[in-house]
Amino acid sequence: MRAIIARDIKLAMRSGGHWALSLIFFALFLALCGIAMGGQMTRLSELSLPLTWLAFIFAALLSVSQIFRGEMEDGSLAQFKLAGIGMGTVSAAKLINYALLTLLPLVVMTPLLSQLFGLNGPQIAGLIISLLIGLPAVAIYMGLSGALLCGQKTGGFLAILISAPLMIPTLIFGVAAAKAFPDSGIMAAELRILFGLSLVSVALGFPAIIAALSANLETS
Amino acid sequence: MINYLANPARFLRFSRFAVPVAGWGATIALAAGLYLSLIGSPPAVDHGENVRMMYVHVPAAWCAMAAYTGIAIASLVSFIWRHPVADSAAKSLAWPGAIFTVLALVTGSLWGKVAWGTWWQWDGRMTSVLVLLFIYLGYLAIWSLTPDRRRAARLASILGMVGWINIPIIKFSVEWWNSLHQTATISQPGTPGLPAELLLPLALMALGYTCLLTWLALRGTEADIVRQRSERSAPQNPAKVTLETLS
Repeated sequence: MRAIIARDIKLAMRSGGHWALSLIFFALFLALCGIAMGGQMTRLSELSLPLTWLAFIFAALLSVSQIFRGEMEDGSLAQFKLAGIGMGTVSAAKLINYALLTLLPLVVMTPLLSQLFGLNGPQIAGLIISLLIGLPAVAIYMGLSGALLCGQKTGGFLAILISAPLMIPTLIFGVAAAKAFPDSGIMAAELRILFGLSLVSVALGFPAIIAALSANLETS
Repeated sequence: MINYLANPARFLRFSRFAVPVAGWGATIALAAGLYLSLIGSPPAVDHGENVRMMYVHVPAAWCAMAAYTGIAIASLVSFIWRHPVADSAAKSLAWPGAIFTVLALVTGSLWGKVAWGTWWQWDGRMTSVLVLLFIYLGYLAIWSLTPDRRRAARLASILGMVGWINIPIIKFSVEWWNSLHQTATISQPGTPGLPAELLLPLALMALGYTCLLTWLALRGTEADIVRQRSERSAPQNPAKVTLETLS
């Protein structure tokens, strides 16, 4: 498993900045939001938490097809299966990779971008903590549509249709947690619900991802 | 029961008996229910004539959730035992379910306009029913993803089971969030419930909707079985082999 992760990170480094695309999208989306709102700081700082969460989810959606499709098409997944490596190991490795290479850079970038909206320290901390706690849920639901769709050439649009409805509770409580953090701190009820949602999504989604990958690997 | 119906031929024999029952049940219950709910029943105390919206709204919402639960159960059966009939059943529940969801949303919105003064409110129940509609759409879309029927069925069953998580959220949303939507009136112990002259048309309408859903699902499953059978037995051109001798 560690070997797969290390290999993918190496591949990503050599791919010539392909991994930065979602980062650029994230920055661009937030900048466009700022411009569209007319640049009024008072209104923007109020809207910035939901906007950042939305940008996070859209940026994650943008790279859904990168999670499994490449491996599926070049036959690596089938090779892993033949080599006797369990699908659970493979999908865990790929999901950790996705979280490390796509989602984590977005979170790291957030403090910088939140300066666009004039957020103060506790607000930024709340945003980052809520993003980090919600990150497993985001990774799992993106991974689910990635795994369901990885057998097909097309279907980027379908990823939105599959992932977005499942993401909605995470989105609601992610934004609520980010809002509640400056007032109630780390023990805010919303943060705990968000954490619970993340755990539920891992428990529910991870077996589904494994099943979907196995179904797509089946020869029929 | 599941094992018995797993055989398509036996399922067809069962549905030949069940389809008319469901169809006539729907016709009679809906006809009686519509008469009673629109003309025969008195207006309610709090709602006045607007209560008549309840008779089309509440059963539609029930059926939307029931259809999805049916999809989830059929998906589970299909996922574990790989029954092709379960695939057909799940597939043919999806369209009626989606349409019932739209109906529940539209009638609820119309009722909300007269009862609360707004077409739409972002509260727990309305949001989660809207999410249910999107889940239905995603489920329908994944069936058309691949021409390989068995793989499509497998992927759809996975998504169908994961999406079921939304159903308890809808059911309990009204108790969890402060909401405009009223809580369960009929099934809750300790509440006075509905008076009998309002409950009877509602029960009839619910019966009619359920029969209609059953009828649609059974007919859809029958059609799907027949379609698969005809695809399987489609006349295939015999392979032509020409032998050429090298001269």
